[in-house]
Amino acid sequence: MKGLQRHLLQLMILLLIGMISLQSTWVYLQTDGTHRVRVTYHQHLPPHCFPFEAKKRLQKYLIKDIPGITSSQIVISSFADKLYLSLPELSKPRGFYVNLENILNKQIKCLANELLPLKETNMRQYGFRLNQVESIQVNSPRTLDYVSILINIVFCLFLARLFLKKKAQPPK
Amino acid sequence: MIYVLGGLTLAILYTAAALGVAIWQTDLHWFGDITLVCQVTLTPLDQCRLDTIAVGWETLAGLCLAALMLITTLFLAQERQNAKRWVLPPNTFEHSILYRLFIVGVITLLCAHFFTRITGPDQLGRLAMIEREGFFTSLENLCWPILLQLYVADRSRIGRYFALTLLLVVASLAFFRGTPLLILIFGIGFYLLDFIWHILNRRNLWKRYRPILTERLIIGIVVSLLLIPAVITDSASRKAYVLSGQSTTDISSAARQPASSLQTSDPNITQQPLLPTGLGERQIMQRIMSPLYHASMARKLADTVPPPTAWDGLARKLRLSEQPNLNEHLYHAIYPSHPAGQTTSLFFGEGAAWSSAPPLFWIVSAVLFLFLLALAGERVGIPIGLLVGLAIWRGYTGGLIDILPSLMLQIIAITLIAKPWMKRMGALR
Repeated sequence: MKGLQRHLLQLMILLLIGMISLQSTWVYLQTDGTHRVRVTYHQHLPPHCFPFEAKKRLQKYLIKDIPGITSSQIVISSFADKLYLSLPELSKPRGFYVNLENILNKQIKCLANELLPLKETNMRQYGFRLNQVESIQVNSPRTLDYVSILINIVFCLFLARLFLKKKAQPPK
Repeated sequence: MIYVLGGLTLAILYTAAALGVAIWQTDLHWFGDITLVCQVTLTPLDQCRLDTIAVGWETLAGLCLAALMLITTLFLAQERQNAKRWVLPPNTFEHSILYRLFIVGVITLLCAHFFTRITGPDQLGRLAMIEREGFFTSLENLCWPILLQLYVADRSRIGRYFALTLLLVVASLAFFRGTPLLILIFGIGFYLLDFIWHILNRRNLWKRYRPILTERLIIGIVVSLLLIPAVITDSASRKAYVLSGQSTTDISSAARQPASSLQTSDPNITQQPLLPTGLGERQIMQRIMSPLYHASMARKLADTVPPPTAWDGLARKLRLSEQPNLNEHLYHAIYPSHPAGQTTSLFFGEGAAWSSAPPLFWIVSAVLFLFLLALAGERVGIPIGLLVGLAIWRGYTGGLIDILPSLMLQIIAITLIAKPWMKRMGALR
């Protein structure tokens, strides 16, 4: 029984050391200063309108225009009356994003079209307007990574102490 | 430690149930709130569901790994624990001054809450009432886990009955069904399991423990008979409230907004009936699945919109800041027009928003941290097992940072109440 317990403890310690190493390597590898571009558009859309079509159109355009970019690298979300678009860092002039704005505004098709049919004149007051283009550093290690590694190290030390105690006990 | 394991088991079972429902429910059109969650990241419903299933598997894997570590550690440290725990003389806090002060404080709080409830306008909606009585609810949420911990740790019958009575009052005043249910699960279910486990380990003392077991069983049956019908009645009235259209969330949003156009841009899509059958069942399923969808949304949203920091979350919980915490930030993304509310983004959402590594690491670490806390408490002889077990469950739904300030305050309270008295009784080394 004691032998089994010692083996279990060894296994647990190894598992934790593996976890700590894996996580530390992961966090270390992230410190390569990867940047992304975040583009924000002001949204002026009808009530209950979700610019779902915008995502499809943007993705289609970006994938066509920028070879090498994949759809999974394009992240788009809608938050607090703004449309956020995040891309891998690209050296494109501001005009490129203004062009995206035009593409978005060419046809606003959203959920509201089916629920609340809008007249052509009313549609003109809605649209997207470029708000900000900024470069942001992503994937830098964050506080929670260090906290998490620290917790695992403390737990590993606790198990090691338990292991040493078990080892020190004379067999019955 | 049965409470710690119990809290983790609840989390695992809940995740498994949520994952099962997420896999089973392929058509999300009538789950209004879930549709709104997917709309935030402009994800088609099918893709949103697949992403959420991946989140569910990762959460389940993290929790199971943590459970494996906990069980193995407890198995290895079992001898030491048994020897120490059961040499303690009976714990009773009724002679402690701080215990008396705490009880007087809780009674005052409950009286004030009751007075506010009965003097308020009769026709106030549920959300308005929650907002009006939010201060009392927050304080009660801070106090009832302490009462429950005192209830399970106190060996004095009068002390136990007194704590239980106050807990029943808290349950009756609570707006959320979770409070009475957690009191039932932790205070009655796990409490009985804990006792049965220890009797099984000491068969020769069966006769001595039999009256206590009988008493706990009777209390369990009586309290269950009081609380379960109350929860059922509340659920029925809640359903009527939702159907009346007064609720601004839940399934009512599904009834207002069929989300067919998210799935396809085909304008010729057939409209489905506005009030589908099986509304209650769908509401329950939506409730079960929602945390996984919130967690999935947290991950995607963090890629585009910077989330509030962990420090913001701590400051908000300690009422030092007006900035929203992570769960409020996510809630605002889903329901921009609602004044206040919080999502349940799980340990996963927290890890996804604030860590660069896969969230699985954070899920394991958060559980291990709470487990270490419980071990430390047990080592110094302060009964905090139930508080930590509850924290695992509450942290699992809302995130560790969300529950950390209240957990620390509760541990400090229990330490101040229990330790000086136990020391005087010679319970501590």
